[in-house]
Amino acid sequence: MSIKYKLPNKIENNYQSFSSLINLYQALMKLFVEDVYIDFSNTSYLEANLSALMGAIFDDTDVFVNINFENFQPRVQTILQKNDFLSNYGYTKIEDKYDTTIKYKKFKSNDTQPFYKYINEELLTKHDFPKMSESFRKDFAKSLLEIFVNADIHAHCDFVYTCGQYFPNKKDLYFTIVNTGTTIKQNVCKFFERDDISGMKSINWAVQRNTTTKQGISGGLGFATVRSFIQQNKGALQVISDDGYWSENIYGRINMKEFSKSFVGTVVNLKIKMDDTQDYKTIEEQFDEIFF
Amino acid sequence: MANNEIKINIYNEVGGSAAVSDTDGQKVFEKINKALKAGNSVLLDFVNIDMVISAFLNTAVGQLYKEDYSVEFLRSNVKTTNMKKDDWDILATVLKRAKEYYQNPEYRAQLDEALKEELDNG
Repeated sequence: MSIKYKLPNKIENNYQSFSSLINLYQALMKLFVEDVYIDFSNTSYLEANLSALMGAIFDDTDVFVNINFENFQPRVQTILQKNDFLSNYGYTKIEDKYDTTIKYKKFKSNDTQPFYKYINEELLTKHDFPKMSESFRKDFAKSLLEIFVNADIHAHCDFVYTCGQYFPNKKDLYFTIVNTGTTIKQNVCKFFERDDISGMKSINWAVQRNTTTKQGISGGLGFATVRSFIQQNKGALQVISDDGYWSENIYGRINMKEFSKSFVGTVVNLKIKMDDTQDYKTIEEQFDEIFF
Repeated sequence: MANNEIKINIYNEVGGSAAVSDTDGQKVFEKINKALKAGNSVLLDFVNIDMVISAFLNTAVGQLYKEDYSVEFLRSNVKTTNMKKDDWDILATVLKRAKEYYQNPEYRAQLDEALKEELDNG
């Protein structure tokens, strides 16, 4: 027996698209059929960094079902072949002549050195990154690594999925990191021994400076590093975890919403402005070699 | 007066040029702690390391404040070398945070209370 699931017209970096993909995730988790056909016939536009979330969803659910794709519109299929997403499903890779895709990858959650290598090889040496200041590149890499290690420390998951996409006309670069592990809401509820904290409030708490659900060890600086970089760059940040949606825009305005269904994991989505010429060197005091 | 200076090569400990994971940080912490307990001083050598993040430093050095060492003792017995200047600010931030967290329980309780309130009102 098989079932068909039609994807929406546009898959973009916004609440509606995340909501559609979470609904798809929940639908797939409940199926007791052999084959699922993901139908792209309606989908004329797809922001390809979201391959990270699609990869996590299809990977997490393919224990129960066989995932198949059908009816791609050529533009969508091409971008998913260029960024290596479809190589995982038997399609051939297409060369990315304009170098706007950032390869879809699945890492083990403790693969920190391979992830650092990937950032350097697939991201920081391509696109418009070489034009950026060295301090910008370093602070961006630092932010991505802080998010990546959170998957191991807090989500206790096996795998982390990443993908990016550069939009050269707008000078916007999106990069997405997804894990399918313990959600922020689960960690925050456990930490406070409560069960009445919503997903969005849990995220809002977790992204504050100095908050951490780790027991007996200082921390809470990871998200602060990411937010400070994003604010300086005038980029944007979205965090999706459980049934919570949290975003911060270029003006530092926070928007929180709930989803009707839950994603068993966390998505961190960064939007970076690539027309940023600032030097990110810290202007804080200089330190000598003694710190304690 | 310390017996010997034990050099810990961070690159070798983490197996690459990025000192990022808390697990590697824990390994380094255990080495530092063992050396200090044995009466030695420690030199953390960051040669060939071009990336350091808070998750690593929280466990590697932040935890030293949890142990029974005075600030003066740590200052004289734990040193760093070859750390890139643009990683110094994250090290300083981690140590400041750890000092508040482990050595000032009153501050910690106040912070926890404030954060809890924020969760309820946020």
